[in-house]
Amino acid sequence: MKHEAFISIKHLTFSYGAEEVISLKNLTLADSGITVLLGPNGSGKTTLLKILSGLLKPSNGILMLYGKPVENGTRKLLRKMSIFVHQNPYIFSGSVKHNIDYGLKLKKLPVKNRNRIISQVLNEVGLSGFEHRNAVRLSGGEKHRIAMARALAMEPDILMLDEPAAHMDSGSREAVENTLERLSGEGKGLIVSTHNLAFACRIADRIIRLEKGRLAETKVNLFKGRVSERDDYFCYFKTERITILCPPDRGNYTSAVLPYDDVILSSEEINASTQNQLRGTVSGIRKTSNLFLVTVNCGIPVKALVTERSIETIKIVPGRELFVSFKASAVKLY
Amino acid sequence: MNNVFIHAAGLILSGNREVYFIAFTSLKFAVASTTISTAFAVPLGIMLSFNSFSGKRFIVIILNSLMALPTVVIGLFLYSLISRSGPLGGFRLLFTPAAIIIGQSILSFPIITSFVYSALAKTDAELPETLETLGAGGLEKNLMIIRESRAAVLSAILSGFGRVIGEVGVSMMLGGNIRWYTRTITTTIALETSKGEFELALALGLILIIISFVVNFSLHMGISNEA
Repeated sequence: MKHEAFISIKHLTFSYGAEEVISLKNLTLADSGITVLLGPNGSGKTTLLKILSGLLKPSNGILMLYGKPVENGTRKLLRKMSIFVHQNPYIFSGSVKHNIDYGLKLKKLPVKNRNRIISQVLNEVGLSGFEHRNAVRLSGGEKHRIAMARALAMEPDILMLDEPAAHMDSGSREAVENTLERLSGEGKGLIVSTHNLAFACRIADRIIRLEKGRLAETKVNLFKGRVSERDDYFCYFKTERITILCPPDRGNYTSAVLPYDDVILSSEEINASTQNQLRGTVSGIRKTSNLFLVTVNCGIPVKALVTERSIETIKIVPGRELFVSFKASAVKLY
Repeated sequence: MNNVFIHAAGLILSGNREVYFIAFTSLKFAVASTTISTAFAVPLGIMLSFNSFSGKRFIVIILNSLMALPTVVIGLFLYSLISRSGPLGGFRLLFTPAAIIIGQSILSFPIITSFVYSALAKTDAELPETLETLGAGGLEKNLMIIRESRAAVLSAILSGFGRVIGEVGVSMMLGGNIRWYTRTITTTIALETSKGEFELALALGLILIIISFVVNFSLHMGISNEA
């Protein structure tokens, strides 16, 4: 999957009056795959999405679009390239067709093309045949999908969705997840905000955690893949390079989540109840508040939180070979 | 007194030329002035609703205060401006339809602006952002906001229309109540009542009520049919 720096941020802040709600030192976002902004309510997800889509101007700092600072001219380009869909999207009064047609009319497309695009995007969000339905009378989930279809009709390079699964029943949420996966598969870039960890884990290629407007550690390893086989004891979750043993569970899972805290690092292979044991090389060490975050490349990067004493006793340094162990029960499938 | 009502009804039903001329004149002035003030008041109301800037609160307070301005005060100010000795006396506007329309436009402007502002302030903040993200420019955005808030905007315009069709101070002071020229329903009612001639006054009063009802009814029906 390509991950060009579609947008990069340097020392960006945003304030509402005297209150600083966003403060980000560095952040890069790709123009493909699904990036999830994860955080509780009030963590600045919506504000950040509005900045990224060009609807809000940052108070300070630099926002770059493909390496060029976003100023008046590039802001217009950013607006054209990206579309932001609100958590509670505004639906125009009138038919579903009118809602989707509005942006297409502004683009001055011929009627024939517009009608073709309308059918196509409604099909993409699973609402074929809804053209003449009264849009404001649809359910919340359907309205959100109409807003997605309206945005998709504009053929943006990046689609930014604010809490697309909030306040939805499970059927609508599943439909939204399927649509997001299909769009991502078609090469569309998606930046999605949510407060729901399970939803984030199911759809994300990359999770960015926000807390009080600042980047925070996600504290979990996110592995993408699929369950290749099952037996009475385990699910075998296969990623691109490794297979992880997980608790036996039925379901069509695409993500495995492993908390940093549950990963054990050792200099030698250990004989314990940890069903997953991988061998890898230390590729990064970073100090967090009072612990060290160690990244070990085992074919895929696995992160673990360890104490300073562990760093010293096991002699963890970049390039050192280590064993990475974790229990099958520590892995959660989504 | 019963005879007065019968005579009034007779004036309407017989198609009395002066009655209908006066009614048409009133309607013409009210429509013209409401149209002019709407053209300025609605964009200002939208701008106030969806933008934050220093001095906005002050503008809103001024507009709210102007809503209660007596019509004779507006008439008096404009009279001093457009009378022969006034700074705009050279335009010879006093006692012309144009003077009434200008006065009535000023009268309805703060009402329409304030009502549009109040109505749109309750509109979802997502609407202008959605329009921007779909590529709407300034004019397209305003037109769509008006379309989406048409019931509230229409109510604001009707309030302005109601204020001017029923006012007497501006029409009397700036129009001079000239027969077959600037005489309106309200100035005629004031004049005829002072003369003790109730038939014409009552007939015009009835027409005024009918005009208000028909205008309101037809516009509201138009909105509900579209919805």
